[in-house]
Amino acid sequence: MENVLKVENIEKYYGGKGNVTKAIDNISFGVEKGEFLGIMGPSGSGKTTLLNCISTIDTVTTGNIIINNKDITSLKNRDIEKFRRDELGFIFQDFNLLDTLTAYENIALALTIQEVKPKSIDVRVKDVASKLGICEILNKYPYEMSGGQKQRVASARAIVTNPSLILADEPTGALDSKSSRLLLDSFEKLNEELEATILMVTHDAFTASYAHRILFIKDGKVFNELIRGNDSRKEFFNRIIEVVTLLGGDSGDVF
Amino acid sequence: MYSKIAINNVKKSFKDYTIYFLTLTFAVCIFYSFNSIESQKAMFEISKSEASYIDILTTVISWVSVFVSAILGGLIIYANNFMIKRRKKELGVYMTLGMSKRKISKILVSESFFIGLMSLGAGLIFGITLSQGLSFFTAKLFQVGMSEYKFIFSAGAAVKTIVYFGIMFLLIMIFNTFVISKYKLIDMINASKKSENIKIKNPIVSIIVFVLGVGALIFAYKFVMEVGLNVKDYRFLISIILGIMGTAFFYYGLAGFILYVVKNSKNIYLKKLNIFVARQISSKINTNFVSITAICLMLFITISILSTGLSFKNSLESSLKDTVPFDASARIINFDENSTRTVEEAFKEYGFNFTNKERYVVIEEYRLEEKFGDILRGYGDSKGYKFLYDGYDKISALKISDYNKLRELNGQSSIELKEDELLINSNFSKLIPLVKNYMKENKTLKINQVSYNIKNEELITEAYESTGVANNFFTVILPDKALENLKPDETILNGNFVGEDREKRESEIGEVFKNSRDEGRKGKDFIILGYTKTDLYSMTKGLTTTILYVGIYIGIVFLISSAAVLALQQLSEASDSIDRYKSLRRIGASRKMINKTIFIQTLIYFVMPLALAVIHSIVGINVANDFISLYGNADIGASATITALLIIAIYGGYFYATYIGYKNVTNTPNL
Repeated sequence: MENVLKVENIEKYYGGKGNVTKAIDNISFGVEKGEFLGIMGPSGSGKTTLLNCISTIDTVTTGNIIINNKDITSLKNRDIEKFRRDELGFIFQDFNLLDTLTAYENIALALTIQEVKPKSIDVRVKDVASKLGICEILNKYPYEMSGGQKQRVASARAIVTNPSLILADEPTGALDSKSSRLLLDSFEKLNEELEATILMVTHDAFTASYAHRILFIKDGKVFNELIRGNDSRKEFFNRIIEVVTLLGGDSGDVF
Repeated sequence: MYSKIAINNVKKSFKDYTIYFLTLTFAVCIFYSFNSIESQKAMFEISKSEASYIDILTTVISWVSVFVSAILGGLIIYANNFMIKRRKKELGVYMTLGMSKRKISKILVSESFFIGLMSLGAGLIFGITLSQGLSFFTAKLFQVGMSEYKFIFSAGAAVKTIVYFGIMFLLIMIFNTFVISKYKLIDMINASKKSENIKIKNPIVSIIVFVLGVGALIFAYKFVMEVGLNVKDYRFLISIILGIMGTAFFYYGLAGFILYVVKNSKNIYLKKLNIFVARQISSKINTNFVSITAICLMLFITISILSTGLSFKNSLESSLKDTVPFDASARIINFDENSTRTVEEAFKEYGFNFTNKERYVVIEEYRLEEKFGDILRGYGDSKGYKFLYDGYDKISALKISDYNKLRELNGQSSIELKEDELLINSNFSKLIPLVKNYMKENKTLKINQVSYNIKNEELITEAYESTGVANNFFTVILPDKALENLKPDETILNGNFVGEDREKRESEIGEVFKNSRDEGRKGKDFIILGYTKTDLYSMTKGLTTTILYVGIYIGIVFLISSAAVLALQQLSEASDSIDRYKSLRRIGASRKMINKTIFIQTLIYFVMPLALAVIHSIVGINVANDFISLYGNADIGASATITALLIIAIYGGYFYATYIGYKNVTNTPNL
């Protein structure tokens, strides 16, 4: 199957002159269209740096990142902005909803930035809202919503533009377990029904168990890879726990 | 140690402080310049009477300065409050490190001290520079020559500035200490996380309030247009109250109203970042509608006084030519009806003897039973009448022989009147059109049951005494015979001085007038009410220059205060919105798009109070013009242009600085 994302031998250094930190040390992998990839790793493993590089928020030191056959490491600033706007959808731990706007407006904003015709905006917003079950809260402000609702609005905003790749950074980090489950169910739904390609960074084993495949990162390197295959989520979860234990020093994150 | 932290803090946050610091410096500069006018006298070649008007100006300015310092004090406290709020988190970190509140206050006190010291120093330097330029301006306004240029430094003004601003800074230090002692550590640490509670108003309520506000403003305009600048009329007061209320309601409802309109037009609403802009602005107006109302009213006052002040001055001074035809004029009023005292004798009692160096004439003014209110009714807009008091609208009359004496005095040829002819004379601008209309439609005028033909085709608008204002409502010049049996009401003396010591003579007669005015009728059964040309000119210039200076002073202070408050509100919003801009960037808005929205937001925020203030001012200036035209032609063009330029320079400068500052605050390199 076609690769939506291809990461080739990327490295990212911080600092300089005798005090170099390798945040990413030669990582390569690919994500196929319609895949749900999880990236796990302890704090300081470089997973957030990796996500920042993929999402064009940060730049790599060496290596190439190819999204939809476009090498984003060689894009100019203006093209990067356009690329980010048209090809990527973001979901963050702290939702990043605009607190002055209603849910409807938050979702619509992603489209108005793309300069989509006003007529079709309304249809698209309502369509995505019904898929994520947030139709009733469209006229509410973020402060009137629960965390789970906020994250689903944020997800709606991320997918309403039909991006090639959805990047989720600890999406359940600020949610209670019930809300997490609801959100992850809707991720699964998005992935299966809309064939959305999702790249999710997390250090929570339960959240990760929703993915099809998981890359484990430690000290800037790919440490292990797990593929769910035909396992049930419970079995996959147990395998994840084993790897996490193997990673060592990180068991605190699980318990 | 603490002062070191304070100095470093000031250095570090200089960017944040820029607007605050500049405003302070500007305020000090203006304050010093206007208070230093007194010492500019040293440079002018001025007479004693002119000097006394500069003294009056100085006194007025120093009273106004008290008011101005109250405004500036309020502004500084407001600005300071913003600064403290922004730094809550930083102060919280100090506290978690174990610093006591007292020590934190100590740091803040030293910071205020350094900032105050710097802005005082810089402001004084700029003020001293500005006051050099201001002295040329003063000389021009008073139309006095300047002796050789001297460097002017007013120690008195400098000390006053230091004392006034010192007190303000002291108040701030106390205020800060008080505020800090009330903060809770948890709130300080979480200050940046706590987002302002967004007040959402019911749109229907907003729209109703908005419509009410607009209605109140329309009524206020209507009332004030009807009554004019007549403080005694209760409708004037009502229009002011309605105006203030209307403005407040307007801004209270504006946000909801705009949001409603924008929301209902999908093409605007769903375009680029318009949703975001609309929400940002409306939430800002919602929370700040009181200060926006105050700013709008301050701008209104600024625009009105600046543009009318100059036109008032010009119109009053340009009309002096016409209203001061003689070197000296006086009315002699006898309280004893049977007195036979001549004018010469009256002046003799004050020690002034007329000689052959004076060319003077004495004329008699009669008051007839006819009222011009009755004569002119129906010949035009009755607006002209409302300035007159009942009973004062009796026609004045002069004998043609007296009138010809006046003409001769000014080197004009005499006019012959037949027994059934008269001349009509008026120079009161509000009545001139009515009189002209009357003369167009009537060839005769009935006086004392006798019908006279009006001889002059053109209305005579010359004054027949020097008064400094055009206050001859309606005077008829009749054949001597017609007034034979009447008793003159008042005696008027007009004189011109000739020869070498004419200035001396003029000032001597000026002394007589002054003494008579000061003493009143004490011990005498007559009174001389008179002015010399020099008196009238310097009095008018003194009056108009004082008004103009006070106008400029208050105007500039209001202008910088409003602009500074808007700038601070925008900048504090900028730092509150950093996360919002981050989110926008993350969902794909380009830097260019965001800069554009910042520009639009800042522009709307600055233009909003100004726009309504301009509309208020158009009405206000119209009303003021009506009043000014009593004293001469009111031409608003030049002064309005100067006002506009001043506003563009100061207000525009603040706008630009705010825009740049806003961009810098939100332009975080890391998303």
